[in-house]
Amino acid sequence: MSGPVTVSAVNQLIGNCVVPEQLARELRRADLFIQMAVTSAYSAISGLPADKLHPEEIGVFIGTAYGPLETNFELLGSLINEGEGQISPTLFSHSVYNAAAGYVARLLEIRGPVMTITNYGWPFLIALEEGRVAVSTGRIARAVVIGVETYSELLADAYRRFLQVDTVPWERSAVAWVLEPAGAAKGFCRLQGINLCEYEAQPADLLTRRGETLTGCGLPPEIPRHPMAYAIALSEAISSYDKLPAQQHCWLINASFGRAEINLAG
Amino acid sequence: MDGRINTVSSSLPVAVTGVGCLSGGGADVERLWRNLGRAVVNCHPVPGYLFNTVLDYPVFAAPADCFSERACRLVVETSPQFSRESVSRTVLLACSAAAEALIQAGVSVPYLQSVRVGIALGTTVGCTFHNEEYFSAWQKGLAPDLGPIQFHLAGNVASALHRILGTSGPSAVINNACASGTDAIGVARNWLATGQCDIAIAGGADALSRVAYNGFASLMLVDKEACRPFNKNRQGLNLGEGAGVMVLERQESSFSRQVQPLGWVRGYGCAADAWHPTAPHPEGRGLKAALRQALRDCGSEKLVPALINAHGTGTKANDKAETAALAAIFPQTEELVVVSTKGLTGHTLGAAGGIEAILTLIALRAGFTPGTVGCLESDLELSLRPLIQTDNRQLAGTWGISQSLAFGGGNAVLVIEAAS
Repeated sequence: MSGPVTVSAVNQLIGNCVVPEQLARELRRADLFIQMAVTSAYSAISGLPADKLHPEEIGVFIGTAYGPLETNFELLGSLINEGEGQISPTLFSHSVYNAAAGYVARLLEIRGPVMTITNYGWPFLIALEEGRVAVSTGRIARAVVIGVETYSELLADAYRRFLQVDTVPWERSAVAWVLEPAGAAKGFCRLQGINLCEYEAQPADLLTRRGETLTGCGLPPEIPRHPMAYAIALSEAISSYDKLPAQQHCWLINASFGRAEINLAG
Repeated sequence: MDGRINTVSSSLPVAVTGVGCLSGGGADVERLWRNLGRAVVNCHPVPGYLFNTVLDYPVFAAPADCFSERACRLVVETSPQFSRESVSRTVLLACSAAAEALIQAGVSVPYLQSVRVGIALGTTVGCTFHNEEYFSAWQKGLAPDLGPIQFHLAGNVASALHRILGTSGPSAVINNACASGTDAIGVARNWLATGQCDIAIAGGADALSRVAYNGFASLMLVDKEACRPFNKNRQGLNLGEGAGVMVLERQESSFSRQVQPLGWVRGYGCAADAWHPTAPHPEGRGLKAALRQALRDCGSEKLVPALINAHGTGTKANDKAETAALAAIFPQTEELVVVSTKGLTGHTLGAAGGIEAILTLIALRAGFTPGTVGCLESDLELSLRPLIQTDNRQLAGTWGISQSLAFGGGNAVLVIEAAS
């Protein structure tokens, strides 16, 4: 009882986050994690033709490894430096991992399922599969799937010390894909399914992405060693899917911490 | 709605073959249920084994040693090198609940390690880095030992449980704040329905933390006495900790293992308020949508559940919004049996949905529910009358609802049927 699902829009947001004017007031107190997620989702949706989907027919699925880490540390710093009973309620509410999903839902008027998933391996792919199943089974007519990481200076310090390097390869970034029933929307390609298998790994390998490689037509042979690199590479490849010589693909991601398989069709 | 939603029920019956719980209300399912009937309230100042605080909001703490004998015996078989110091308290709680559930389900370790096991667990605190010592040292420009970072990276609750059990299959930690545990069971049900795994371990786990404790205090949502859900003069919630885990399987899997299901997860709905960062929509807009979705999903839109285990935190806003939504979806409010079990467990955040789904199933199986612990005088301003503490009730059916509301406007609903 499932139908094909198409990727109908893709957005990537790397580095600086310019909040759209329409959202600036609502996002003025939001942290960078929330701003990145909302801005990327807004940009992805704004490219779609106007339609009359009911808000309950749209869902949000966010995948993140580290969540609003800087806000968490700001909160921890406040507790340590200023003492108990002094925490800002706004800061606390923004430190909760699903705060971004709540903002996306509220600002983009989405009232279907809203899900935030964390995993140190490929959280965006887990969110993508949840969104795909929700659309495929007819539970919703559109899934907005977001991958977002804003990191923190503490995490960067750990990365540098784990690998004995001077710089970190990441910039804060977000990607947003829109999934819809294949018959209802034009899109880049059909997303047929994602299979994931995790392996036991050294904890540091999850941060430093040891051995992570992508294989498949249209994918880059090498990617930077950071937790959003795979999501950015997949987003770029999807955006130019129509230029690929064949239209049926199985993209593979291998790493010391697992294996992922993404099945696509033109 | 414009009719374009072609809602497809997973229709595949997903059987519950084992349940496991640990919380301040009881160290396993049997004791939790017994204490609910006796209205035992284990709500005390924060014990020193958790953290030190100058604030005076009481909590429902699990025992200091939250790694059960059952869990010890299980890990000897699955992971002989396992050291409990290598994982967080949240993981230990999850492992204890999982061990109880797996034993009840009659799942042997060789079987568990030979099939695809989906692990979906909800948490809030369990995914955050709260090591104050490391953070303080780093803030001072020192280069503290990276052990706490490694500990944190190894601590994703679902991945950690896979590692401890020696299992493989899909894994996800659901971070939908207070609805996480309910959503995790919904996600696992979908995995089984779509064939992504053969058996699932699903629910939630959360340990108490000083950061969350201070955070809820900052929101002025906590009561300085034991919480009183739905009570006239309720003053807020008490935080708690614990874990609640179900073993889920496709019907044919339980049949082929010759295990009698305890019941079934029949429907799941999840919807957003799209309203406010922390407060629920005053009329429970998202909850109504989630309830409708769950009823459609179970194929019985006109269902009148025999029991509704509400989120019922004891905050003024939650209890009002939640009862408003229930009264709108089930207009026959006189027939409704609505309770909250947070007077027994406190609000266990990411674990709440797991624990409450289990208590719903146990009550439905017993054909009986105790009233709402802590609620001694109904709030007449609510849209319906949940059971007060002294109002124990026989149930008129085997289908019930367990529901959760969350920060960020998330709402999640499970429809559960007990095997007779």
